[in-house]
Amino acid sequence: MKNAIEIYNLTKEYGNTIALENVTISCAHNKIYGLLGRNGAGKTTLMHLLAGQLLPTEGSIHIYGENVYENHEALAKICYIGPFSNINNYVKAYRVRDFFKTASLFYPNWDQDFADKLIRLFSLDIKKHYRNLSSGMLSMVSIVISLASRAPLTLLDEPYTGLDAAARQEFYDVLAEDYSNHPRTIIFSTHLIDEASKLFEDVILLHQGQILLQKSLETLEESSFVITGDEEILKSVLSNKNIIRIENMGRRAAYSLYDTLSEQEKPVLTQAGLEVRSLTLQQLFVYLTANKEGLRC
Amino acid sequence: MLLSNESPKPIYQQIAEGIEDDILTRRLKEGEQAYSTNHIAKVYQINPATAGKGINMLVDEEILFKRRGLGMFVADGAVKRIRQKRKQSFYNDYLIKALLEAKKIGIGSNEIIEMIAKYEKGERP
Repeated sequence: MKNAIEIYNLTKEYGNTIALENVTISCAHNKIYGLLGRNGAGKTTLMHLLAGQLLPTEGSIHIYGENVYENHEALAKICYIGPFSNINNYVKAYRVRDFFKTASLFYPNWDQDFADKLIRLFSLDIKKHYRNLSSGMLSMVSIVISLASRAPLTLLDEPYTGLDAAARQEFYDVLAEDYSNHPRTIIFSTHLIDEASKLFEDVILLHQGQILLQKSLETLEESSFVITGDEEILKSVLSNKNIIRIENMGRRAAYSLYDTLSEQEKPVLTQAGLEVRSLTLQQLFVYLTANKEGLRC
Repeated sequence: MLLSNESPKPIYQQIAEGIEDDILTRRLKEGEQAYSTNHIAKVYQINPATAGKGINMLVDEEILFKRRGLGMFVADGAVKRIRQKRKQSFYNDYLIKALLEAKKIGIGSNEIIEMIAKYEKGERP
């Protein structure tokens, strides 16, 4: 199989609402993808479709060459971790250790030693009942499962609701290390973009149910800048660039561009007294998905 | 080394420059073993592919070399090669910015030369 995921012409409708429209993407083996999009962009729908929890209205999804819906063998290769909202009463009687027991039976690559290490790292009390867990502790349970399952395809859908900054750093740390030792395909959706972006190799941006872009992080880093200085100079030197946002302050301005700057162009800008910085992925995301009325170009 | 996502340089270049800095300041000596991709990925919480790209850039420039089964090592002559390369960017990355700032606050060329002379003697301006 050339790719881990092949999605072709995928459309998902809920009644009259179109959640995803004509989505075609493929994801390579063993890369970490950042899946970005505003609220309601279709991220969770896409994750649920990948996890075999929904059927597409149109189009196809193949994971490791197979259809996943009601395909138990294929599903054992996929670990989906999302917000813990739709837990039924039966599961509420679970203790933390029961979640890990269930996961260990379901995932063939489950690593109990690693799970125990993570439980100690997050100071999780495995005897606690589900109903007595805070949202942060619930997220820790999810995270332990997502990492210790070592599933070839790991779907992390906003995995850390309620998790404090220190615990999030621990999570990034463990993820970077474990992924280095055990590469797998990870789709990671988060709103804390600047915190997580260094972990991404590729970025998929969903906007209003459609794919706005899919590019490597490096390509995006090399094609998103903010340049500040005298507006007259900015206007003349950046006239042929794709400007996505302009902010003025008197005669000064900041031009954000989604375009490349060559190694010849950068010193010319500096010599003209302009300051060149990179847009963070979060800024690029905000500007590209802003309401059109907010744009002045 | 601190990674910045506002630097106009991509993360992999910042990683490569951080390793170069350690070689220039002899924290890493020629012939010694350099950091592994996985170690860099863990310490800076970055994707190992990004770390690998920074290391490969230095391998292409013959600053690092790979010993099969052992990892990455600092090449002989690495310091010289880094210095040559950095000299080219010194003007763009540092000098122009300093001169623009000097012009803005009205420091003339003679005054700057005096400052350099004093700095070399270990005096304060």
